[in-house]
Amino acid sequence: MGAMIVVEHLKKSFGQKDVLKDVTFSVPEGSLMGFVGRNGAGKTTTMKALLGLYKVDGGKMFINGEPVTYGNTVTNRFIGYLSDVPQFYDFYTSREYLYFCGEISGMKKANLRDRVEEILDLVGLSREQKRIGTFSRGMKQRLGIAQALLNRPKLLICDEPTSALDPLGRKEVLKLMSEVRNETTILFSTHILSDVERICDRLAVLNDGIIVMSDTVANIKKSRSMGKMVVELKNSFDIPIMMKHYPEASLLDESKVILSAPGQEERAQILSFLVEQHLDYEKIYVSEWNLEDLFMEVIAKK
Amino acid sequence: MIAFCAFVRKEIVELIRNKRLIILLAIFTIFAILGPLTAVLTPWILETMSDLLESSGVTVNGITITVLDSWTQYYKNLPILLIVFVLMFAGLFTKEYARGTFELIISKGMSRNKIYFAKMLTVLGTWTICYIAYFLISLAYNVSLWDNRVAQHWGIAAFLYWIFGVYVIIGMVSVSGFSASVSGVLIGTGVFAVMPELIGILPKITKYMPTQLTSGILILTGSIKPNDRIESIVVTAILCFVAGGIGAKGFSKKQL
Repeated sequence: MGAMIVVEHLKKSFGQKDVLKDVTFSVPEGSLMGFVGRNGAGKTTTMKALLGLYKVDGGKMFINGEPVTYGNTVTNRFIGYLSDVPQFYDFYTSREYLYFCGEISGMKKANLRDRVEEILDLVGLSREQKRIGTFSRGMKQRLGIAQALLNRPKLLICDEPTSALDPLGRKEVLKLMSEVRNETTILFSTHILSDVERICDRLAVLNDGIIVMSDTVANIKKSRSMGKMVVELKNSFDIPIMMKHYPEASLLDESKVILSAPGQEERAQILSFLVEQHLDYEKIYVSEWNLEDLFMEVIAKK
Repeated sequence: MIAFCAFVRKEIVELIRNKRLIILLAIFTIFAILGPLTAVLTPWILETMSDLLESSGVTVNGITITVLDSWTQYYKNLPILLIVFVLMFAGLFTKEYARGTFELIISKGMSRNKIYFAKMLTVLGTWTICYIAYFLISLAYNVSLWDNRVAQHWGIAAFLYWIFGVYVIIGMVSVSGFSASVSGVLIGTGVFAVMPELIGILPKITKYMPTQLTSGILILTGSIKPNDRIESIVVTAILCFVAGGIGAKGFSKKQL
């Protein structure tokens, strides 16, 4: 199976700020990749660069084996794109807008009518006759998915599609994405980690302009379930003592330290250390694999 | 071509549904009626004010209005109409930049050149429709109220002003390819429209300037012949192509 997206050493600055320092990752065909990072990490910049909307300062990008160029971006014919708050022409109805999208995508008229009705059914807007200007945010997001999937793209790029939605709307969008994952490769950026856990088979974490982790969710689970111990200290000033003794440890927040403890022996050693050093703790527990902890851990390491 | 036509159709639907076309047609129609009406009412207005004017030492008698007075009003109104037109379309691109509506369109593989030229075509089409309406209504009044044979080459004179309008509008679209703000578009268009007038102060190059196309009344009165404007037409056409091309280049490289 080939790679649908290949990004190599991508760099992009805005003024003095280096948003993307050296982004390298690939998305195999047929996968659903969660692209996570904190706000401002560069997720949207990466996606817009893939769409040819941003001129990059360095690096290469390929979609379906073809290089991505800035400006008139021919690789966009493979892509369906959905932004966090998609903007449409308010004077159109959803049906009219999808016809318009089909025509500008070069779809044949004979297929377009059926496809528009099919996709409107899929997103639950087939009975909607009102103009888009009157739509709720959830309806607009569903229309966004419809326009993105209309021409059966090889790649679907979704930039935080669930971030502006209520729980019900989020659930609907995730369900739709799960339903189409057999037809298309999906790159899905979000900072809602439970959404990634729910539907993605691959994960890439972007932090400070660099990809700090990229693998299948299965591999990450396997490597992370070796055993981590979380020590929640009572006093934050004890943290340096812990960190000095366990330099490989990472901070989950200002009082929690994650330590590698695959076996009983390592766990006993940690407990002994706490007692010897008279370090007061609130809680000690063996961590179950959790994407949120993992995210905090890889971010904190940076 | 299908994508280009679809985008033109979208622009037309937008013009109709947001009522911009009907508003423009109404304004052009009102001004078209206003020209002949002003000419018709001028003697009556002056007669009414004759006492007042006499007390100021101005004697008013024997005023004859001809079709040339109405045509003069026609050309006086056109700069106002062109400004109104530019104001109505100054947000043609900037609104889409601000809202982000171009992103979805471009992400569908539609070339930026097609978007740019589809927008240009629609605005030029709208200008043509409004101008024809303005011209035909004015002409109908002029023919019915006066002897229009007095005016020479009235069709060509009107056509030359239409070309000047095309020049200004292409300038506006071109600036829109670069500028993200309405004020930027208005300033750029203003400079583009007025610059030839300033450069034309040099007597040797005056006849080449696009602004020469606006002096229709000189053609109507026979002061100049339509052939005298050929140099200006050629320069205007070249400037339109250059400005249009530069704008397309700017839009194709613009970060959205």
